[in-house]
Order: sequence, then C-alpha cells, then structure tokens
Amino acid sequence: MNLKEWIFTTDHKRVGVLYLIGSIAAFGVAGVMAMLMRLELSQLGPTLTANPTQYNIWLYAHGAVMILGFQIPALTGFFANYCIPLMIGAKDVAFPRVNALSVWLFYVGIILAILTFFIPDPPDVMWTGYPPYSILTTGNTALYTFTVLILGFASIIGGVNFLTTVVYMRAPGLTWNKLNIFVWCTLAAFVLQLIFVPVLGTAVTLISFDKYLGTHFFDPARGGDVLTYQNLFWFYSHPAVYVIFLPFFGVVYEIVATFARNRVFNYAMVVYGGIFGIVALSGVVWVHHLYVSGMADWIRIGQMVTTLLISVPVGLMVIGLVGTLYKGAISFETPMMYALGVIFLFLIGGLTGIPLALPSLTLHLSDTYYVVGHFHYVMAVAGTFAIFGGVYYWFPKITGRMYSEFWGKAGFWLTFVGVNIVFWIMMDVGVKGMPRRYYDYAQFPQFEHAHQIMTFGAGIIGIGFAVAVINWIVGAMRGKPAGDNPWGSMSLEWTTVSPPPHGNWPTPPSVSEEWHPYGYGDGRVSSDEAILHTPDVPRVS
Amino acid sequence: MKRVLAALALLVAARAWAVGAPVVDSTVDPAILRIDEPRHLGRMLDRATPLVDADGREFALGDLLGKPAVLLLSYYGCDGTCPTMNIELAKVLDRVERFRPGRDYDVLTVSFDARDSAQTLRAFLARTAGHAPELPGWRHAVLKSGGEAGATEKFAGQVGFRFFWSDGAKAFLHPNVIVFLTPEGRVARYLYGFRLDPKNVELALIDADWGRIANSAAVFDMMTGACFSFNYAEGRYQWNTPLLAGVGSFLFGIAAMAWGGLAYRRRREAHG
Amino acid sequence: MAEPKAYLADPALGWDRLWHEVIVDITIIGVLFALLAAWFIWKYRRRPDRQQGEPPKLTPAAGVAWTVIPVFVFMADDFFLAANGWQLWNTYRDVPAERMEVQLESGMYSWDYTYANGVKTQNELRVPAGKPVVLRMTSRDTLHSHFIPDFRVKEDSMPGRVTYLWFHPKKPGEHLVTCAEYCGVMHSYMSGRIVVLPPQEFEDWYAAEAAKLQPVPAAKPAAKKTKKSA
Repeated sequence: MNLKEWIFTTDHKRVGVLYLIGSIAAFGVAGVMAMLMRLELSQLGPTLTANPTQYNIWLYAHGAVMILGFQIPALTGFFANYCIPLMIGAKDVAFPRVNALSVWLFYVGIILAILTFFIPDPPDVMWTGYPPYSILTTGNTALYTFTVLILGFASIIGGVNFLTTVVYMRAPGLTWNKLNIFVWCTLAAFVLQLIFVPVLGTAVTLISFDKYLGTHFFDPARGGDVLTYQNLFWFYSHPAVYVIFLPFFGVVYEIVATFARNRVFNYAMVVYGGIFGIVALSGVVWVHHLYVSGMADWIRIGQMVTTLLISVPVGLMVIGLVGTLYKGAISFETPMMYALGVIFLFLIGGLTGIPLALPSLTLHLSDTYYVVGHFHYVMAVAGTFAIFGGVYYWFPKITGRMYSEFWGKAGFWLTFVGVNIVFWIMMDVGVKGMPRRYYDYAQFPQFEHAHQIMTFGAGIIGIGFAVAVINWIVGAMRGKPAGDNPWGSMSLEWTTVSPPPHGNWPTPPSVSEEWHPYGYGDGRVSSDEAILHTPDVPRVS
Repeated sequence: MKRVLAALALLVAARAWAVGAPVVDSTVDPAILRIDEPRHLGRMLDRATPLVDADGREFALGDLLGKPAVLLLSYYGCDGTCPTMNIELAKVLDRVERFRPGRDYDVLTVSFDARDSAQTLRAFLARTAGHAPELPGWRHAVLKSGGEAGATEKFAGQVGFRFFWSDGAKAFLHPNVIVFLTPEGRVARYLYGFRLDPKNVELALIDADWGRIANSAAVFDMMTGACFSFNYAEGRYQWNTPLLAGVGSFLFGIAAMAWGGLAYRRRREAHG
Repeated sequence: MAEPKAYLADPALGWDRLWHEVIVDITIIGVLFALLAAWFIWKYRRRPDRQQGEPPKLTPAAGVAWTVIPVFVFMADDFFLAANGWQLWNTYRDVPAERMEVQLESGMYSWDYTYANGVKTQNELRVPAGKPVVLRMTSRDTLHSHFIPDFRVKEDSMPGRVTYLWFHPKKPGEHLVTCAEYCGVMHSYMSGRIVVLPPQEFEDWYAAEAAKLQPVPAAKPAAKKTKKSA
C-alpha cells in the first residue's frame, strides 16, 4: 500500500476514501473557524481579534468550506463513490479515470479554499458573495469564484459518471425497484447538480468579471441589477440544500433499515413521492431566501406556497423513516445512534423552517440567528450526523476492522448535547432580534450570557467530533477484525469481503427475483444465506 | 502642449471673471440641472395639486391617476425645446403599440412657469397643433395656484426638476425629461432627451405599472420587465445580461439531462 | 368588535399572534412525531427472541393510502398556514393612507433619513406616536437591511431600486435599528434608533428643524453638527 498507488488510483473505493480524507480535513479547518468565531463572540467587544475583517474571513471560510468542501464532497464524493458501485453490484464506476480526475479537482478546490488564509487580502464576502459588496471589497473574491468553479466542475463530471454507472452497470436482476434508497437519493442529487451548477458558475463568474474586468453586470448605475445575482445564486443554492439533504437522508435510511432489520416502510412512497417530489419542487422555492430582498410581492406569496409544499415530500420521507422503525428489531450501535439523532435533529430543524416559509414571519426572522440556528439543525448538524453515522456504518467494510463502540457512543452523546445547546439557544436569541454575521453585538448587551453558553456548547461539539475522528484513526490501525457483514445487512455491499478487493467481486454478482436490499422479515437472518448468486470471494488480508 | 496651457489659462481667466461679474452670457454646466434620481424615485407627488386645463376646467392631479402617467414639465412661452419635446413625445408615444395613451396610461404636460395661464396654454397648443399626431388622454395644464410664490418650484421640486430663468437667453434653462408616474402617483422612471426610443418608453411604462402587472396575468409584460434593466448612466433600458446568462446556463443543464436521457433510450432500443 | 381586529392593522401585533399560532402548530407536529419515534425505538428494540423485523405487508392500496392521506394532511396544514401568513403579509405590505413618509438612504455605515419637508437626520429617526411611518429606502453603496426588532420588520435597501417598509409606533419610547444584511467590515456597528415622541413634541421639533433649514445659509453647518451629536 504505497503512496503512488493511492495517487494514481482509479479504484472507486480508493477515490472515495480520498474524498473522505479531503472532506474531513476541510471539516476540521471549517470547524476551527467556527471555534474562533464562537470565541470571538464570547464577550462583547474585541476578544480574539480587533479587526472585524478577520472575523468576516473566518465566517466566509466556515460557510464556504463546510458546504462546498465538506458536506457536498463527503456525500456526493465519498459515499457515492464508495457505496454506489457496491450497492448495484458493479465492478467500478463507468469512467474510473474521470472519477480520479474529479477527486483531484476536488483537492485543488479545497486547497484554493484554504489558501484564503495565506493570501494578503482574503475574500470576506460570505459564502453568498452578494454584490455590490463582493465587487467593492478589496478582498480577492477571485479565489471564491475559482473555488466554486472547480468544485462545481468536479461535481458535474462526478454526476455524469454516477448517472451513467447506475443506469448501465446494475447487476443482472437488479431492477429500478431494487435500488437502495441511498442510490436513489444520490441519483436525484446528481440530477440537481447537473441542472443547477451551471447557473451558480455563471453568477460567480460574472461577479469576477465585474470586479476584475470592469464589466457592469451587477452595477445598477449601468444597467445591472443586484437582485439578479441573488436570484441566480439561490436558484442553484437552494437545490444545493437538497443535494446535501437527499444523500444524507439516504445514508440514514440505510443505517435505520439495517439496524432495525426491517423493510423500508412504503418504498414506493419514499422514492416516487419523497425523492421525486423534492426534485420536482426544488427549482421553484428559491425566493424564500429573498423574502426581505425587495422582490415583487406576488413572487414572494407564490413561493410561500411552494415552500410550504416542500414539507409534503420531506414529510413523506420522514414518515418512511419512522415507519421503518415500526415492528423492527432495533439495536443501538454507534451508527444507529447517529441516525436516530438525525431523526430528532431533523424534526427540530425541519419544523422550525415552517415559520421561515411564511414571508410575513420572515420579515422579522430573516437574517437573524434564528435562521442560522434553523439551517444548522436541518442541514449542517443533521447532515454532519448522517455523515458521521455513515462513516461508522461502513467503517468495517472500508477498513475491515471495528472501531471502539464506547468511544463512538461517547462522541455521539457529546456532539448531540453540544449541538442542542448551541443551536437551540441560537434560535431563541434570533427570535429576540440578534442579527447574523455580527462581529460584535454592542447594541445587544443582553445576549452576552447566551453567547457564552453557545461558546461553551461549541467546545463540547468540537470535543465530540474530535473523539469520533480519533476513534476512526485508532480503529483503522488497531481495531479488531470486523468480519464481512457485522451488522447482518441484506444490502449488496455487505456480500463481498471487507475490505473489498479491486473489482469488488471476482465475478460480478447477479441477484435473484426475491432479493431486495431491505428484504428483512422474510424469515432469513442475513444475506449470507445465498439470496444472491454470489460466487465465493477469495479473502484478501 | 502650449495650446493646452493657453486653453487652461483662458479657462482660469474666464472663471475669475465669472466670479467677479454677474453672468450675462455663458453656457450652463448641465450638471446643476441633473435630477438626483436616487432621491426622487419612489417619491409620491401631491395628489391634491390643483391644475387648470386649456378650457379653464379645474382638476386635481389625483383625478388623473389610477393609471400610470407620463409627466412632461414645460413652459408655454417657450419657443425652443418645449414645443419640440411635446411634439417628439407625441410622435414616440404614437409609435408605442403595446400601450395606448388614454386607454393604458395618461399623459400630462404641466407648466413650471408661474406666468403661464389658460391663454398662453391655448396659444401654445395652437402653435404645436398639426406637427404631431393627436393623442387621446393627453392633458395640458397649468398650476392653479400659479400666482403663489414658489408654487411651481415646489411642484417641479417633487420630481427633482430644477430650472431657472436666463436673462441672456430670455428663456428658462431646464432639463428635457419625461417622468413616468405609477398609478398611485409615485415617480417610477426618468427618460431624457428629444430622441426617445419607443422601446424604452414601453419598458418604462411597464416599470410604472408594475403593481398592476404583478397582480394580474400579464405574463408577457412581466417577462419583458424582468428581461430588461435600466441603465441610469445612459438613461435607457438594456438587456439584463446576467439573468439571460443564468437562464441560458439553466437551459444548458436541462438540455444536458434531456440529451442523456435520449441517448439512454436510443441505446436501450438498439440493444433490445 | 374593533378590538380583536387590532392585530390586522398592526404588523407587529399580527406577527406576535401568527408566531404564537405557528409555534403551537409545529410543536404539536414535532412532539407527536418525536413521541411516536421514541415509542417505536423503545418498543421494537432488539430482543433475544426478536432478531428480525416483522414488517407489515403493505398491499398496493395501503401503500397508496399511506402516501395520499399524509399528503393531504400536510397540505391541509400548509394551506392553513399559508392563508394566515398571507393575511399578515397584506398587513405588512398595505400601507395605511394616513401615514408619515420618510426617505431613507443607507450607506456604509449609516442610516440617512430625509423627511418630507427636507429635514435630514442621521442614525436617528424621530417619529410621532400613533402615526404609521413608511420608509422609502435606497442605498448608495452595498446592500443593507433596516431591521427594527421591536416592530418586527426589516427590508433590504439596495442601489438602483426603491423598497419600502412601514411600522406603527404607538407609544413614546426608543427602539433599536440595526443592519441585518451583510454590508461590509463595520456591518455589526451599523445601528441607530427610532425615537417615538408624543405628537406635540414631535411637531415642535419638526417645525424647529424645518425653520433651521429655511433661509440663513450660515446656520446650516451648525444645525447639522447638533443633529449628529444628538
């Protein structure tokens, strides 16, 4: 196992692991930014830095790196790469070299993002990069543009690759109705990426044209319109929320079905109602990010209705998840703890989004800590819990070893308690009027105590995630051998050895008529009992 | 180089002289007549402003509203730009086919000269008659309180329109501008100059009437309004390029997906 | 019957009412779902005699019913909330005819108000109690958002477009104004206040300020200075 093999690898599993390492590194950097910001806010007045720009740079880096460098690559890079070919019984992805290209583009992207800390005038435009500020600022927003463009391009070629893989390379007998929920979710996410990423690319490119080439695309004095940027930006970035939501919910579905040893409740409803519904509605709700931006009243009201309607497919997916617990046989290993945590965090996050769907309530809530608390619950925290749960879940498959259950649960409880301290208080402070993106809050001295508790909670979160990552590293090096299918899952990826060899199976598997990835409760205990015509795999150790 | 220096010296001298003596004859820096648009866009005109038309009938500005309106400030003793503005405006409005005066919007010419009255107005109309198409829904008026000191300045000031009498030219110096008012009487847009482009006028009318368009099914007007944005520096509408680029890239994404789907179907058919 | 409708005329009252209603609504949904999930987790934990789930077999009809019925339940709640939200929205956007209009130009990093008679103030808006106030907003540089937490309202201002918001100050007092849209380095320091005065006191101040504006040009800079320090 030498370095050269890893750099030139085209194996989807190794590409996936490279994505995981890169995105966890990005998560660490962005997490440190969060800690710095929390420390800065722990007292009124300057705390860590006397320069607001420094704080704004942390905030920009936290947002941009968490979304573009951690969540999207971890979900559509790592999980998709590692799991999809295994779940559909394929040897590899359709275009392995393109896959390798996309992971190295991803690394270029996060290196660009991290360069923020080493150039003289880093971008301080927030991850939204709204003009006119992003054009007027002395910060080098070109870095932001190039980060978005490169990561976007990596994502697009990844999308083409996976759509082709799932469409053409499913194992014989593996029909569309036997796809794992995760595969469906990721496909939907890639469809959204392919359709909407070009719009974001256009918007951020025009921003850079305005700043560096002297064009006037967003200069109101010369026929530009600042609102157009906001529309273009959110026209992509709201679907991007589903690019994160769908795969992470898919991961949670996999975990819950396996640990409840239960059939996914109403599979057709989840796929055709939930996933398809979200894809259909995702492109017509972006204006809820612009409720106070001065858009025409009729479009705000129209998108209030579509935004509320998004609760229908999302609600179906939650029903499917809770229904999967019904009459299951639930055990509580670390991945399941994270997945159950996601159910509760997502309930809080999803429901606190309903006031934000109403433009009249948003006139007060918009751009306050309430919004920040809400989207951290629904996307940031729920998504990160799903990613951590997913890494724990497939950890035995990836490494062939077992992590420490004790430290896994310890990490989970620390983070679970921590996020509720931070983000519950954050929403409360927001309703009382605390605006977001504030370096200092001299006009709100009454919130100092709340800020201190949030900083304390953030510390707990930090320790919790650090425990999890250390647990993985120790487990990968010194964990006990885990066996091929430690959880007793029916899903196809568990039928090969752990870790799977190059090519996954010596001869490609085919699945029988009665097999289903969630075919529990048919009297069989595990997939070992030859539901599959899987040839014996020679063990590599 | 010498020439430039000489010109500079002349300028300095002229300036010194100008400060020292009363201005009798000089050109005016047009910048001082410039309307401060950001301050006046969105401002509501006084609906109660009493006006008198050529027949001596009295009406209030508010009576005219309810539809968008085009407001032109002129003075009727003018023998220069004012008749030209009125004639050119009539010509360009006649060329706007989507919206018709009287039906979709009103036009109002008001004098900013306190000395104007119904008589001078009739004389003015007689002078311009026959030069431009007769449009329905166009009223020429003078302020009823014209005699009151500062009344015309106050009215014109509501839209940021400034003017002053030049003894040298024996005429008022004033900007040549038409003002678009929303149905409730707010300033929506300014367009400058004699040579108006009917397309710009149409888009300005869409802007002025945005409230109605947004509340009805006037999808065409809505799309037109969104596809163009106003260039304040040049005073004209231009394509909203970023929006079109964004829509273009979205269509590109959709087309890529559709192409992939088609290719898949064709291949499946080919392979049975 | 005039009293119970007060919330329909004042956005801030209406906001508190709708917020309460929505919080009750989502709390009920959330607690129901959470209790159900917790009960399932407890009841269906793995036991020595139950190593496998025993999922109910859904007939196709039951599968459709389990989709369609929740869809309608969710949609009913959505439309209920949408109707209430829309009603309040109309209150927020329909400005009462009896009002005071003030122009606001925001810039990095101040709020500059201009009253109808030309009086200008910076970072402090004085208004009479009992009269709705409309702000017509524009910006000279970046985006800003005039946020008045006490009146539950904000709206962005930007160059090139005019936006508006209105609020109804009822009692004399002071209210914080703060910027809610990231506008640059000093974003968090861009704050001001709204001073609601008794009507008579306001009229006196307003007239006095207007008088200062009138002829004597020499008095102008001095007047500006006192305003800034106020």
